[in-house]
Amino acid sequence: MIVDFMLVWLGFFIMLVGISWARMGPAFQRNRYYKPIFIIGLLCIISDLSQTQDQSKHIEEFLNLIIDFLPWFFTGFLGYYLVLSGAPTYMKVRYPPLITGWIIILYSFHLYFEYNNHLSVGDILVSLSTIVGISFSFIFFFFLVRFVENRIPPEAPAPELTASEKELVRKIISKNIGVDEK
Amino acid sequence: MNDILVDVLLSIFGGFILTTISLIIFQVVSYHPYSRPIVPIFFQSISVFLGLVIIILIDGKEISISSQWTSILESSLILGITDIMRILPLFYVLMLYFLFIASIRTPLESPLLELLESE
Repeated sequence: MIVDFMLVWLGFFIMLVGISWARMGPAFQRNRYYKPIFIIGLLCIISDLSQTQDQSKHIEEFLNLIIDFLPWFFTGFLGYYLVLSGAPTYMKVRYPPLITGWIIILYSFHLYFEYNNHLSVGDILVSLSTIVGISFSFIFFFFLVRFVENRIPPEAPAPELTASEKELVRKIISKNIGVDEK
Repeated sequence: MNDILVDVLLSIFGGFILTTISLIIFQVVSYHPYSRPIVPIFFQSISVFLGLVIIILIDGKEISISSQWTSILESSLILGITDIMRILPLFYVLMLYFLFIASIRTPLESPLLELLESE
């Protein structure tokens, strides 16, 4: 079963790699290839969905769920993106993307009800319990990282700057605040 | 065991295994000289294995080397992804409130931002 479904898992793995590269390290050191990697992973999943021959009920249900999920999710994602780019968060309000975004968000709700009318409230309530598992996993990870970090001995205090280093810092600050060095 | 209780337990372990495996992948592919992922990955791998053992026990099967570990792992991952896709609309609706607030709020007066806009 896992071999038949391999391309979907490969795509899932590549998407995770893309997300991980987007979040690793400080902002200025993040891997710039995260977007193409993520898109390749997504394409792997979507291409396999249209070609898979697996007839097991388990897989078929999963594929149907993904097919029901993608239309409203991507429409809603686009709507969110447009609203956030038009909202007055940092700049002045821009009405064209803001209004278009809200219309697309409303349309995504229409798509959700159109594609997911078979879901019952009971299904969703049972699915909500997955939050407990996800939370346990993050808490476990948090304590593991804290355990490892606490075992690292503190580094010795940094030595004082040399005369040339002090001069370099003075020059950089002078240049940045626009003060004549002399 | 009650069917609904079994579904709830499977959902919990599905979410746990999916998230733990995602975090393991995250630590491996985002490795850098200052990260120390060996101990967390080791214990997370054990926790995934224990999760699979519990799922086998919930299903009422016997644990052996011949147990279809990959199939059970795949089922757990599928269940985790399925559950997340099902509950995502709830968070989607929840976020609409914040999106609405962001759409109607007045930006704070900031000379630096005005300077940025005038460029």
